[in-house]
Amino acid sequence: MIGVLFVGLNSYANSLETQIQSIDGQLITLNRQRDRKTEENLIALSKQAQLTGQLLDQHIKLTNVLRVLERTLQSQVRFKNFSMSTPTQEISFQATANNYSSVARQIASFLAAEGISDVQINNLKTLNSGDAEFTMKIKLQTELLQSKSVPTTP
Amino acid sequence: MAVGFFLFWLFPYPAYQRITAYRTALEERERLLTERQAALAHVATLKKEYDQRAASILQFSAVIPSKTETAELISALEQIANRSGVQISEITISDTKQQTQTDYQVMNIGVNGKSTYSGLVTFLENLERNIRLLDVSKVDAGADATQGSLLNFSIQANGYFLK
Repeated sequence: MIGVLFVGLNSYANSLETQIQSIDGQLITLNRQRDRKTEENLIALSKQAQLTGQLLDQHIKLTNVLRVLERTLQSQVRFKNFSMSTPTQEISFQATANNYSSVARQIASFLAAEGISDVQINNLKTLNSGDAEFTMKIKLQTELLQSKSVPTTP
Repeated sequence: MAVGFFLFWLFPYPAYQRITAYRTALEERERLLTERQAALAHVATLKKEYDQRAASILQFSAVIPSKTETAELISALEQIANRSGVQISEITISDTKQQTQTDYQVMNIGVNGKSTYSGLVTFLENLERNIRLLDVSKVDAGADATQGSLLNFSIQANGYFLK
């Protein structure tokens, strides 16, 4: 009886082993059928879709800042140079104005503008021509740098 | 009786143990096979859709390309400069910054040139609207020493590509 049981169990085990080998063969065939190029393309597309939304939300629009500067710039003030940095969210510039009152009006105009959080003036001096020369630093708000549209209020 | 137990332990019992192990392995492989077949069918369906929308996907992929695509970038910068009336004197594309927690890498792009103020603004606008996403991080500008109506400028921007 033990002999019959042994033969029966052994035969069943062998049959299971054959089935496993058959499935292994099918898995190897399926692996060969994989279109790896398409898989790579689909993975890249999925990543691109995810990242595009994320990076577009943080997309920097420095021209928003320039538009605000243009609108708030006093007619008596002339820029000599400027530097804008988005990581620090700052603009620093050197400019001249016809007198100190114009500089004061310029500060007030910047402070009233939407998107500008702070204005700092350094090194205000009178030139031989009588004009006032100054350097200024403007702190920008993130909303202005990333906004899709320029604020309309000065 | 004892002999019977001994013989059972010696012959049929190991065969029974083999059967148990094989059945577990078989179930695992059948599950794997079903999953792989489904995945393959899914990829085939997606490929069909991908091929149907290949043109749109190509355009979309240009926003954040899968490689640096430096040649295309330089060409795009030149076209933007020409459209904006800006004279480029130098373009630098430096080594990429490794972003550890993101799926993308950043390349630093530097552009030096000369133009009028309105030309510079148009150039920046066109950079912001470029199909490949470019984020300007720094702009320096000052009056040209020889031609007062022109500005010498230096722009730093970030471009992105997949890891």
